[in-house]
Amino acid sequence: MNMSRLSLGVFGVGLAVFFFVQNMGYPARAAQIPLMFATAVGLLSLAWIVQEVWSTSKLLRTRACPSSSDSDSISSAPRTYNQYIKAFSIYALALMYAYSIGLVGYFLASALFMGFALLIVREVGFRYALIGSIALLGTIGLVFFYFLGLNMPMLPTF
Amino acid sequence: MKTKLLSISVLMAVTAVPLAVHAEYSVTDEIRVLQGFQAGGGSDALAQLAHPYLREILGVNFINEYIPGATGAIAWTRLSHQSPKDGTVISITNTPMLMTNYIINDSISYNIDQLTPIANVVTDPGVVVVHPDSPYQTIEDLLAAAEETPGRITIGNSGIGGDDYFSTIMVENASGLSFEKVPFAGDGPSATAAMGGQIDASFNNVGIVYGHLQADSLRALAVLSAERLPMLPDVPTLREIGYDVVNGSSRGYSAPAGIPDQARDELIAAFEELATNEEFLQRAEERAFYIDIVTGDDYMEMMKNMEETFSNIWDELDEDA
Amino acid sequence: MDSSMLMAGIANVLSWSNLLLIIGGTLLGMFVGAMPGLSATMALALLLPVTFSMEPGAGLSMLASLYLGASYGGSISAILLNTPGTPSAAATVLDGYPLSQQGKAGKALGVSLFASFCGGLMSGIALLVAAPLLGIVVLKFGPIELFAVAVLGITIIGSLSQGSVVSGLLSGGIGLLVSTVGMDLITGTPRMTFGHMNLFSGISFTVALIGLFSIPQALLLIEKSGQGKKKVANKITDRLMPLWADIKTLMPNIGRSGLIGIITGLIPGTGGDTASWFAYNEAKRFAKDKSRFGKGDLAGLSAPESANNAVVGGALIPTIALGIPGSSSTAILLGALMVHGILPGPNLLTEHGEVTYTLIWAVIIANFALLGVGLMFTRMCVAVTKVPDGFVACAIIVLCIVGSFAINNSFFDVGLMFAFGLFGYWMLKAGMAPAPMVVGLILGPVMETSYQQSMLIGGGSFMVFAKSPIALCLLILALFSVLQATPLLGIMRQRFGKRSTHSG
Repeated sequence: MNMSRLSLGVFGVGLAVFFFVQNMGYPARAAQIPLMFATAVGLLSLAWIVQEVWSTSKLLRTRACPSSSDSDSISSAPRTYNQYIKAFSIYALALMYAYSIGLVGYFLASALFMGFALLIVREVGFRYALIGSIALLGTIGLVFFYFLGLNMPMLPTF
Repeated sequence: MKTKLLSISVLMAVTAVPLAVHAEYSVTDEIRVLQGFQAGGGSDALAQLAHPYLREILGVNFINEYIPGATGAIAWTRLSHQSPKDGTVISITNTPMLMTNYIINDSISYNIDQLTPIANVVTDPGVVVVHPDSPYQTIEDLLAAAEETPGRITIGNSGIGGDDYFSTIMVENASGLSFEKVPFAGDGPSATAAMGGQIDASFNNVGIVYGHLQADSLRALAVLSAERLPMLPDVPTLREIGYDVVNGSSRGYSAPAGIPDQARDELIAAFEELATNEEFLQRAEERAFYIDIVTGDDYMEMMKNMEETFSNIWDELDEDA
Repeated sequence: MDSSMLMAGIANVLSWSNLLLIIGGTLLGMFVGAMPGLSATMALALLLPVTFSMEPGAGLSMLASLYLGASYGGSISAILLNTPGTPSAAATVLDGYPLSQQGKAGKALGVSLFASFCGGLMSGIALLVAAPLLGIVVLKFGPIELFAVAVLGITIIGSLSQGSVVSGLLSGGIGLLVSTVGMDLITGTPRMTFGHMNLFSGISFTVALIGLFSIPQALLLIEKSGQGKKKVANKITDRLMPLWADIKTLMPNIGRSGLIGIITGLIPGTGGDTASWFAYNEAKRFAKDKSRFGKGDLAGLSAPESANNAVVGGALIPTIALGIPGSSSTAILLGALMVHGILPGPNLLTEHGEVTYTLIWAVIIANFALLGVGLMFTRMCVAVTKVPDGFVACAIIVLCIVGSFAINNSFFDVGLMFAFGLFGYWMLKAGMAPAPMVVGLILGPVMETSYQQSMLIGGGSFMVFAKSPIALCLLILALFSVLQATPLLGIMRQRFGKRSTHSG
């Protein structure tokens, strides 16, 4: 049973209901098409949930070979949760990075992000990371900030 | 000794006069101009035309910041609430969007009292256009058709809250007729639909359709200005046929409320000087820009009038709905 | 067509400074297109103010070259990194990445470049030869016809699903639903905005695309990083230029896709993003062995690439002939004209003919620049595959933030991108394809707006769609597409004793 699939299906139903209820409060013409879409999403989400439940029960009934046919299912026991922790921590780091651009300026924030992220990922040596990051940020700085005049805060605001 | 002092002071006085006329901006060398629409749009066209001249007059550099979204509301909210009030930041204000944004939408928190209007520069008068082979060859034809089939004549506009939408309502109110208003995502698509004959007519703006009028892919039935336009001498005004509807879309510059008086005066003086610049006026005419420079308090009054007119219209609509 | 203006245009374009700008624009476009997180529309919007100080012809040449270069560049990251560099390369991912997984990255890139070149050249010639004629076609597409086009586009969603049909339709449906966020055009009601001004104009689909495709890919790379897995595509062992045999079999497909690109570009409101899906769908429909699509079929790769480059010329046709932009990117080019005081309208071909013909010739020449510079640039890009996954992932995230900010100069969009990123990751784990969602986001507003406008024009009756021959044809085509995806057609064929075809 692909838990992500099931939960996404449930989320779909929730989203549809949410949109539906909100749109009931809008004037008729404005709500027409959103209501239609919301109904479609709700029905399709239910259909998807049913499909997932049905196919899993079929699998269990026939007692087919243990590894499920869809290669992206998480139901095959993960060797370790390490990889997901890495991914989520990078994501969280990225959020903090985006937030900090307004505080410490783009280049400092990016440098910090690259530093910490590459530390977590731990795949490249220090020298590689340094040169690579400088190359990346240098190119962005040249093309976007200098040539195209991008409007992000470049330097710390304190 | 005394004569020397006198001559020096006379010399200083004489040199001070032209300096006062070409007043360098006292606040800064660089003014940020917030634009509420994408680069290359109508506001940008105005900016690119006016800034070189203003640069010479004020001795400042202009930096355009494009902050599109919510028909300019994001940029204007930033102008009134989050910008420094020292005269370093101004914005191009488009009317009627400036007012209709918060008239139509309660969640928009700025209003014109939080701005210092500096000067209006361009006013694009409204114009009624149809397909050249349309059955309505004069404005009277169109209105007569609307009388015969109320609510079935399709009139395109540039969107709810735009000047064309309100123009249509003003015509409806003045004539007692009713049209089927079809909103489009801007003047461009509205004009295109009229060109393709998909709608009966489009309430548009002269600057947008001028090229098409010249090339005969559109026909103008009437203009919504106080007097006939020199660039369209054969097109009657709505006033001439008895309906006092004058409307258009305007663009000008405003600053946040509370900027220093000196800054305000210098900016206003710059625009007043711009109004007399022959080269600027010439280039504007080439681009079908109808220059209508109204500065300072007069601009504020212009805005207040618009705010009142459009609020009334919107409130009436709300009652009918 | 005034031959003197034609000549003046050629002379202009072949000047050293102009050629340099064209090459520079193409290179910049390819770079921006190849970087996940950066998009052509963003680059155009940023480059526009830079061109204000140039001659109008020169500035326009650079912008058009950028547009063309980016339309190809998007396929580079689609093939190598499984994430489209621009919205119009979203369909290229489907067959491009599997090819690189099979070690055929070089072949894929070569075919993509060649297809892009053909498509772009086709549309450039169409632009030169038939602009005024084709311009008239544009006027036939009003809200009623546009609605039919949008419906046709949405029915394609069903056939795009990699996975169950239900998941594809659901993905598309969610896209459609989310696209209704924002101010409704017809009544001005802000829907689902909860007072946030930043949502009034709706959710930008480029932001959503960056989030849905690039972020999950980056996170996936991080998951896989540090495990010392051998990368399959780390050397382009095969040649870049496609074999003559391949070219011969692909030409009909490329030609048809180019035509689709030109027509879709013509229609105001649809651009490279929609054209690539239409072309992909048609390539699949006409393919003898449909099962290879999605697993690395060259036809499935060349179709969207040819189409999205053909859109450049196609979208410029109504822009030049009538002053009506055929796509959002051409709207920026139109802005460039307006700022130089050149009013849009039919007089672009007459009064301002010199500038216009310079632009047209620039589009044609840029295709050759693309071929030349593209080969070199692509070889450099291949070096990216040698970079460890972990670093690539971090770089992608950095680029995504710049790219999503630059579209509207807004940090809100960056946050939105992250939200879509998380959702995209969820979808990845659940096996739901993100491509239909993007199609839904793009076509939802088009469909809704044109529907409401059609209702107003037609007085509330559905017959208004039947009265327009173009709309009727498209709607019937849409119905046919839907039926083809279901087993119905197969059953009917069996009933009538013919050999049943492999449906869908």
